[in-house]
Amino acid sequence: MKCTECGNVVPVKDFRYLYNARIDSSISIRQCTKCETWLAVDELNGVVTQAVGAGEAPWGKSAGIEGVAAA
Amino acid sequence: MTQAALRDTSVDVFEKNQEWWWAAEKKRSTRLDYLRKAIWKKGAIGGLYAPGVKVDLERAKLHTQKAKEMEASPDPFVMKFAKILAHVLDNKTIFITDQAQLVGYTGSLPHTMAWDPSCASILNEEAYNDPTAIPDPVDENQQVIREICNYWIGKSDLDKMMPVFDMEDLMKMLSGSIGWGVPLARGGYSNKDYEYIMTGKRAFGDIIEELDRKIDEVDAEVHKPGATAETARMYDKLNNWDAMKITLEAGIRIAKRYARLARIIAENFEEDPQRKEELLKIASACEQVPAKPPRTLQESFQYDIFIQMMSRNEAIEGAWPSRPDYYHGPYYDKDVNIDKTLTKEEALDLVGEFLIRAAEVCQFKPKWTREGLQGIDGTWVWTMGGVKKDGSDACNDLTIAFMQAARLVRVANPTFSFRWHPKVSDEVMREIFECIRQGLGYPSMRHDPVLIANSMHWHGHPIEEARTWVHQACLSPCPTTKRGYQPMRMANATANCAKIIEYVFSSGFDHVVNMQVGAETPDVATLTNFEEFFGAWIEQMKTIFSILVRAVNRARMLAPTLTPRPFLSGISERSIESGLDTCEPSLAQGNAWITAFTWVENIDSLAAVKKLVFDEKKYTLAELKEALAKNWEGCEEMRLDFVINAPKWGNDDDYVDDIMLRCLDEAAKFSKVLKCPSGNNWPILPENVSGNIHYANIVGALPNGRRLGDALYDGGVSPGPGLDKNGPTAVLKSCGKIDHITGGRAFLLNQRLSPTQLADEKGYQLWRAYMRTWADLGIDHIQFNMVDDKTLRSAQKDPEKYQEVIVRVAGYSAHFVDISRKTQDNIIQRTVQGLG
Amino acid sequence: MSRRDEKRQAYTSMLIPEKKEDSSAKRVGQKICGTCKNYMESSWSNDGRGSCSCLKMGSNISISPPLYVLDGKEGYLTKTLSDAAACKYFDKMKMIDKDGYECSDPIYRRSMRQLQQND
Repeated sequence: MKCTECGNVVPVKDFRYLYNARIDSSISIRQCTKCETWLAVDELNGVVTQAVGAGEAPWGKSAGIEGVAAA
Repeated sequence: MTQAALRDTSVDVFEKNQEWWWAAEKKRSTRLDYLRKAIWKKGAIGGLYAPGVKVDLERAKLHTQKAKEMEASPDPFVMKFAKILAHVLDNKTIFITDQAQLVGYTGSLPHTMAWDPSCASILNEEAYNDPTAIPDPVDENQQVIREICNYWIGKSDLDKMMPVFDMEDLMKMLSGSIGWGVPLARGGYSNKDYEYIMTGKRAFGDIIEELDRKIDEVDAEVHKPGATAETARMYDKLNNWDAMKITLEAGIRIAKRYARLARIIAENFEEDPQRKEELLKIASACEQVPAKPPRTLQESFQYDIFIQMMSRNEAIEGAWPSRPDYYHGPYYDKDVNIDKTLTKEEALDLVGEFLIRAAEVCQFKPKWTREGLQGIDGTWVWTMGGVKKDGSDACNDLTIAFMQAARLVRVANPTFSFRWHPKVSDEVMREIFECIRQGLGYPSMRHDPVLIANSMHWHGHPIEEARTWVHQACLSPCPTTKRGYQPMRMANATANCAKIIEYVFSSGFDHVVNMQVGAETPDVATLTNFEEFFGAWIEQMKTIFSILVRAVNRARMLAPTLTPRPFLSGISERSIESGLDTCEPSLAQGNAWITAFTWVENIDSLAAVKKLVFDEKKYTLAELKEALAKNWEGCEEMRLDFVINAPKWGNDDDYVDDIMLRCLDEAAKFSKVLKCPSGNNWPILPENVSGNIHYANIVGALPNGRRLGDALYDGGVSPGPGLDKNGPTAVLKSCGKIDHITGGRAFLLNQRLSPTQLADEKGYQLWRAYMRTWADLGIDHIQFNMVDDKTLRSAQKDPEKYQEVIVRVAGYSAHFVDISRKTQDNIIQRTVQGLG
Repeated sequence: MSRRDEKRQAYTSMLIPEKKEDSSAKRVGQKICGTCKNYMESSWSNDGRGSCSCLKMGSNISISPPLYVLDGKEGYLTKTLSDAAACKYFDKMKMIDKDGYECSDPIYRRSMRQLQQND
């Protein structure tokens, strides 16, 4: 898998696993051990989808009626 | 006179936008605003204290210096210890915060954390190794810390305990895998005999007189002709009483130091006449309490602060059991309603300041505490409402004042927990709802009739005593009576229960600490049916609970001699009467419980195994074991199968709910096999604090679909975040299947609600209807988050702008910006339930 | 020595700290157990304990020559700052996470003061 920030290419398991905020989703956060960026990873396909910054939620909204909550 | 805030039209705008923290800033008085902003945040973020907060070396130096001087003293240990405590109080730096009306702090300066070096050497290492909290100049102070650490090696409480514990059990507990805490009488949380010390009938001076009488009486007795075993026991009583007296006298002296300081400032430095008057009032209060009973609300709060300060001088306290509306209520009524010496606004200022004084309390604590209680120093869960001993409603005007003050000052800690019963007035319920709606995350709601019955069932407390209950920590009730109160709850009886199911797959070997911790159950791949699998689960459960309870029992039995509590004994009726240390098991009814962190992972995992392995035969246990050993690497489809296609707790699904009941039943049966030194039971209490984050990288992959590193569920009987798919009533129905009286000690339930949906009167009625269902189902606990994703994500981006946004973590609340990113994301992922 | 005695000795050495000679802020060596991939730091506290997932109980890398035990289940108990210069199984971590504002991660995180400047 390739890090979208520094280009580091190593097996998925060599990107440090941080956590998955949604257990029922395949998007997790891993960390590139070269540039230390937090990355959203599609675990099913083994690709980085985006770098993750403060306030970002690659898993999407909370479950439930968050649409109402945010209105 | 209070300086009231000018009504600002922006308040309406903020409230309309549900930006309660900005509205509160505008609404609170100038004094409260100043005091609120003067707080140094003492909770850790993740594992580190906030920048600027430093270990207080003064207390450690005073304690160590006196201990060295006392080494050659012929005094028995309890008296030496009392003299050390007195020395600290006599010599510690004291200060009065500008604009404050209440005084007393554990450290020497507002940004410092008191460090007690005599509890455990391995905890002292934390001070030595801390990357940010060593005060300047760092090099010089590292030398000081080194010398203090070196002195206490072999002398600290834990070092003294080690030779008399089972070393293997101890190592398992302190490995960080299954336990959370330390089995010491001076490192946990102490309730108090409030019925003795806080009802206005007596104070320290009265107790000292009583002690003098007892000492004189017994001293005469032991010198009469004759000698028996009882004579020999009387010597210990005399020593204990002497030690109690030393600490109480020291308590009176430090109060007088504050009084003197207040007078010095008032008479020599303060030019503002109003402030001068306030300082003289502080002086008068400190001259009155704790020597004599309080006369006013200010004195009552001051008395409470002194008691807590002194308790923290003696031990590391991780909680603040309290029933402030009940014990301080009569003084509020007297000052505001009868004598009218205080207006409601002035009283509100005092109440708000009392919350602030409590919020700033801090003692330097080890990593497991900081990570498990992120954002706070300890769980100051203050118990509100409930009933009196005769069963009538105990709510009063101060109950309401506390709710109102909480909304103004917006501290995360203390946090309130309200003892609901059917006779609570609508007025009080509205105040409670307003706190929840404004995003405080508290009060949590407790079902008082259920919990009173629970106390009677598990520990045999008589009903009048059971009715006095306060939260000993986050959830567990404890009476405040002579025999019923629990002097020290050792957090060590806290189990990381996710390890139970993990160890079924590893035959008890823990791959994170590289140690055989659990039972050596058979290779999971050899188990042929669910009953065998469940049998292995039971064995692991019993093994883990036993390891923890054995250590606590041992520590409790040895506490009176090895780690006595002379101050706590000096405010406990049973110790004054008997001459024995308050931790003496024979004096106590017993109120033990095992906190069960990370409980629901077991239920969801068992259900997943039952369904996908044994019912549908889609996978074998060998395949599952391998996938878990690989942390689900390369097995994402399988992992999702275990998450999505196996029933989950919290959806009113009997398949998994029955498993919950079975697990609780087994734990409850075993709870009655385990006995505390007072001879009482050890029921379990599922809840988490932020242990679900602390243990995230310690618990391995599990059949519920988690990987090593994922936050565990948020605790108690709360469903996994996002896994409760069938709405709020389904969650309540699942929880309602548990018998909250006999099934365990208490059961934490987090729910997240929509602030938009619950706006206005309609929102209140929706919530009331929901709470009626909760009450009818006999569920003992519930607590709410009511803040939207947008606010929380904005707070992640710009934390400086959202300092007073509060979230309910688990058994406590914290400011959202004061918890780690992983914790924040975990809270955001909780399902937002729509009511109605 | 019986297995029980061996364990007791190992555990005791972990739970009672050693007296410190000097706390001047020297840089710790590059090869310490804490910077090895095989090391798992204790999550219980920052007292510097941990264990090795490669070497087993009975090993001792502080003697000369080092004693390596690779059989057995229980990991070798050691400390974050223990000198691992002589250990042939030392395998340097590529990334050390020093961010103490997140909770424990026995594999990657080292938030002790002594390691903050260690590169």
